[in-house]
Amino acid sequence: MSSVLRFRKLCFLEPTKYSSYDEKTKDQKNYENVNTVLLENNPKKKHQKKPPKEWRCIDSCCWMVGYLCTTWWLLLFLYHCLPANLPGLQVPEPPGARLSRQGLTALHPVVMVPGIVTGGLELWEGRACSEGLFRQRLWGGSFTEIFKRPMCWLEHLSLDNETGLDPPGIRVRAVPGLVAADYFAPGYFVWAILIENLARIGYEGKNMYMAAYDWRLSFQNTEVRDQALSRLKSKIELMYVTNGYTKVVVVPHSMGVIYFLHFMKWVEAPPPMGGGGGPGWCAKHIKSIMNIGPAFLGVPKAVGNVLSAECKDVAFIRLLNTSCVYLEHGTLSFPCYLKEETPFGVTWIGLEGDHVCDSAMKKYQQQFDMKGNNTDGRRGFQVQESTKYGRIVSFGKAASELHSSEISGLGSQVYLHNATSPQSLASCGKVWTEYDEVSPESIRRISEKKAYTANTLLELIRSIAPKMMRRAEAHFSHGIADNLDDPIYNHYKYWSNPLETKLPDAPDMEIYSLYGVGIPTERSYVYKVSSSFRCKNIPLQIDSSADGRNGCLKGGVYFVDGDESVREYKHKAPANLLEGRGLQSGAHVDIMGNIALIEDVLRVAAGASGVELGGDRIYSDIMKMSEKINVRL
Amino acid sequence: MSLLRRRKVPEKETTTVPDPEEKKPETCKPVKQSKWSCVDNCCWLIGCICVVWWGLLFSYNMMPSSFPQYVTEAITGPMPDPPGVKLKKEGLQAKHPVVFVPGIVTGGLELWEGHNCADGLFRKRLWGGTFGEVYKRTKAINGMRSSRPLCWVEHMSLDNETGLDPPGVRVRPVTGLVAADYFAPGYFVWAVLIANLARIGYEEKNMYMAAYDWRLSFQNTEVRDQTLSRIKSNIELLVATNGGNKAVIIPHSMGVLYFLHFMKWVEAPAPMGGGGGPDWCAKHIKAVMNIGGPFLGVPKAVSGLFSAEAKDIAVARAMAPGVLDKDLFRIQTLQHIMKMTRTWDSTMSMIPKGGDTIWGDLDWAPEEGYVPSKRKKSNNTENSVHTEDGNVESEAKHVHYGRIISFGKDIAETDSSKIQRIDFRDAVKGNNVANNTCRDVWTEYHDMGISGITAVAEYKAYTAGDILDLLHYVAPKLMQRGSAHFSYGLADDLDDPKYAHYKYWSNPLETRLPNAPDMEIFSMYGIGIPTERAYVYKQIPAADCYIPFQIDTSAAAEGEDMCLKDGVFTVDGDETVPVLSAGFMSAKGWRGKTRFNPSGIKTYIRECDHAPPANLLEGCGTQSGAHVDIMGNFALIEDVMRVAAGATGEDLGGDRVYSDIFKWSEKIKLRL
Repeated sequence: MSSVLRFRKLCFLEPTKYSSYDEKTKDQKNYENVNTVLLENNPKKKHQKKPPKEWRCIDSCCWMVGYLCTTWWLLLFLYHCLPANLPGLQVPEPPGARLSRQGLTALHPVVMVPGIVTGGLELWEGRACSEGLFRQRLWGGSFTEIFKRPMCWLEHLSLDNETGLDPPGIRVRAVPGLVAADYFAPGYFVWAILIENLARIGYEGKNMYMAAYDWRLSFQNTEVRDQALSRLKSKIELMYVTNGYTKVVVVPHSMGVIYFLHFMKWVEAPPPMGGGGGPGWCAKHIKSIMNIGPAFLGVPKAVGNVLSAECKDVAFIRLLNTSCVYLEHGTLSFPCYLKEETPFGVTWIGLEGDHVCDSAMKKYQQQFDMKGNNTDGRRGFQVQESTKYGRIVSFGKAASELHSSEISGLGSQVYLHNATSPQSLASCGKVWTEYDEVSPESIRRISEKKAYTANTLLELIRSIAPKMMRRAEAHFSHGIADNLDDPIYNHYKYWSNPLETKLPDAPDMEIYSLYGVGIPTERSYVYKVSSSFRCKNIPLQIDSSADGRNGCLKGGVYFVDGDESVREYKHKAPANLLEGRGLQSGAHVDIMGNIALIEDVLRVAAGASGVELGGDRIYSDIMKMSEKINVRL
Repeated sequence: MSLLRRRKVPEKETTTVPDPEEKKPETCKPVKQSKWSCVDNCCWLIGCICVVWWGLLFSYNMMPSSFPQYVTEAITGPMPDPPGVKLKKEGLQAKHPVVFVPGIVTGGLELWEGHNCADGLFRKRLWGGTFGEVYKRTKAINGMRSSRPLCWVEHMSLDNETGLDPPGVRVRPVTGLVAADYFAPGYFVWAVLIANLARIGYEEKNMYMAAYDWRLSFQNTEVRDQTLSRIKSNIELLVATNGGNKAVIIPHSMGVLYFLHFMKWVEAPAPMGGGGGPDWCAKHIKAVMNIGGPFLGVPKAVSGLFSAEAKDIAVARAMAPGVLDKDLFRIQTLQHIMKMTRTWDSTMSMIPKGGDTIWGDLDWAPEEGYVPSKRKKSNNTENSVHTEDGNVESEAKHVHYGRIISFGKDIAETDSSKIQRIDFRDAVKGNNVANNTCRDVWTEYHDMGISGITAVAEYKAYTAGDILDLLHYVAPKLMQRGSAHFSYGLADDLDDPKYAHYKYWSNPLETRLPNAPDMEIFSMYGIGIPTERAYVYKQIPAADCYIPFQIDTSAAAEGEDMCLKDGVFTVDGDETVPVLSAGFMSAKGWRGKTRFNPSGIKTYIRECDHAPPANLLEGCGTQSGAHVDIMGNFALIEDVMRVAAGATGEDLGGDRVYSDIFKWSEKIKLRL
């Protein structure tokens, strides 16, 4: 220690030479008094020559840093000393512990199907720039690689534009196992809470399975490339056998709901296209499906994403936004580039079609308006004027509010890719999106149409991003079936659309819809045409100046039959910051930590049926809204 | 970093020095030039260190990741291409799905349910990964109440009676490739092999890590976790999804025995077995590539069970600095370890099998005449083997490897006729003297009393056959549990219906290989490292809470050929498994059509001669032959990859043998 101090002093000899004090001696005395202890070792003569107290810039910096570090460590130390449960900050008992005391034990094996973006992806083979990342997570985890090598990261996460599979030389695969989606990023749980509570009533690795899949691929391609569906089938069969022939409870979340819908059709379909499990497979192996935050009919948000890559997705907003800011040039082009390459966005595009969504919402809205002014309050936002939710994308606020007859509806299908401007193509190099093939002219015309409903929207996207949609249409269908016996519906592209498939023949199976209500949710957008047509810009942007984005409930649950239990969870913001992300949250991902939801899942896994849970629990007007939709059953 | 903090915090508290302020008014003219108080000094110092630290960290992170490689290459010349790159250039591609079966201690274990003292460790690794984290975390949460390492021991132990979970504790194996790719950070097990396989196109869908709870006896993994069913189903899935290509199985260490067990289990009829039918293996398995397999057990297991002096590679390397340090548990580290390891049934799978026939008796052993320096010579000039043989034998005649445990060095060396042995088997055990004081670290030694201990020492020398009786005597409960699951004998008549019981399945000398003539079995192991083979023990007089026997580390042989060192006789091997155990079955027991191998499965021996890493930068060495490091051996990886890509044993070039395994095997008189 002393040697270090002496070293410091030697450093200080330097400035003294240049200082020009007259009161050297005086100063010296002072210094001596203060620092006698420190200076003992040094010969006295040395002291006499220098008035030592000069704070140089570097010293100040060092001092500053040291000070901060010290404080930081001290706080850290105190934090660690803190008992886990501060008195007064009583953490409510986790439902798992309570139910375990009530005597619930693990009965049915549980299969979890994660949704979009929440599953981790890791690198198995990459280009030169990804050296050292072998079997590291590219997606999920800490996302440090985005900052270190953003272009490389994007290149590896993108899929091939033509095939929708791996680009040559790159293999990015889903992380398997429970770790795939327990935490999305450190501290940001997805399934972890549910897993922990299940473990308390006796679940462990052998009766829980995370059906991780590469969420960038279209559903059928996960089977083609990774055999993910076969794997899931085999795992369910295995768990069914090793757990004493008890059926499986499936808990899909978000897009996993559609994925599992696809799986159920796949597994019963005959071998070349399907899994060949035979028509009774689901009835034999599945006890119930507990859909969390299902997006059966798609979400309008997907449209916003595909159209202009404005990251509003649940997880996206938390992480990608930071990277958006980071990548100063062409902020939004990057995510857009990525997204264009991956067909996942397309799954979500309003599966509804005009028919369901447009008319129903309109009617609902009118009725809501009539009563709304007096009785509302519960939903937390007031709608002043009749909002046309059916118009998912409208250009300009005015258009979104006009009566339909006043909007000049140019048929967007006539737009052709006339005159691809060569200049933009040449200059855009890396960030090529299909927008560059669309001339400014047609963009202007697109915006002239003013308003798009769910049906015309498909055409809009088709005209803007023809390649993506062509790829997507091979895998997904967005319509509504008139006659389900039509043999065309045997094709796998219909399997994930609940309006074009039949549920499997499994009368004992139960389907639950567990979702949160009470948060404003994007339902339609007001767009504007951005002024600049430079290549780095995406020409359409959400018009943030327009105040017309009143949320609406995600039309989550509409199903063919009445045999489905609907369980809603009211959103309640966390009472205080310390509580973390809320024990009663209803947000799309945070709902996985909702106590009531966990309890429901646990009870079903331990053997309860929907009736024992108490049937439907509904806070929103979903039943009423469903009534309004005219679909032939 | 933590050290810094610890030093700093007290200093800061103590040094709120009032002095400077008092003196200030007297002399201070330039007020701005405030004094360097002690606090400031500290802050300055810390600031400096932090800045330098960050600077270094920054430059380290900025350094291209291939930098160390450049340095290495600058020093040692260009490194050979990793086998993955090399073989990819040759055009090899993933063909057969690959299944890894990890060995003992290398697989990770995680906590699923625990007592209060393990709060916050849910789904954290108790074994593998950073052991340090376990200590640190647990300490931080409630270090005051109970000693944390004891909590850890408590959770890692199994129930003494059943060999399953103790009530209220569930520790389960980690699943997936992460289970055993790295044992601890930087200490690879399977990672190198996985990385190389990935180069020729392997990925998650055609690789599978058959992780199991290595503490349990093999059959209990099925009873508790259905691990065997899981492996069966996964192999079937792999074969089905990879276009019907049969799987290549790569077990390591104890995984070899586990997979032997599996192959019998899967074909056995349903209540006890997996019901896969008699041709399951033929249909699903292309080759079994055993890496460092202790087919006939390891002498090390004996010393481990007998006196907890297990020098198991992994334990020694990763844990010795911390755990074996006596301070850590405050008291009796070894006793705690012994208590814990004795609840692990699996350790008993590695007790030497085959008795005196294989391992030698008081006067004879197959390795007799082995001299470490000899093999090197014989490598160079193979013709001179015979002449040297004669010379050497006379010298080394006194090494009696057959006496796996002998009390005192003189006993180990004298002729058998001069040893007077008093049979311990009927000796009465003394009453239990120490039970009250040693409650915490109760091992079965405390039931033996002084007379029992003396009786053990009086028997002087134990051969492989006697060892079993010895263990039955000193640890009756343990062996009672163990003998329900494992058997160590040598079958006379394999048609005897008793051999249908699962306890024989992991003993290659008491089972037949499955009926799968197209299957191939490879024995790949390292040689060239002295490996424990026999021990010299001593009795410790004051046996209060201590283990009454210890390896007599003072015993060492004079002369150049130091087969006896620190009380341990060594032979050729891979540091853990002697050549005899790893190679005998492939060299003789299964070679051709024998009664152990009725369908004539082809066997190959591929040895890897040990060459220590040329320099520190090279890491674990690309030519290492040590038990675990061999998994990074380029020659071995290349073999594995070629077989996985479709080659047969003949394509590889048949046997590759450096040691005397064939000669030694000849000496063993075993009816085939």
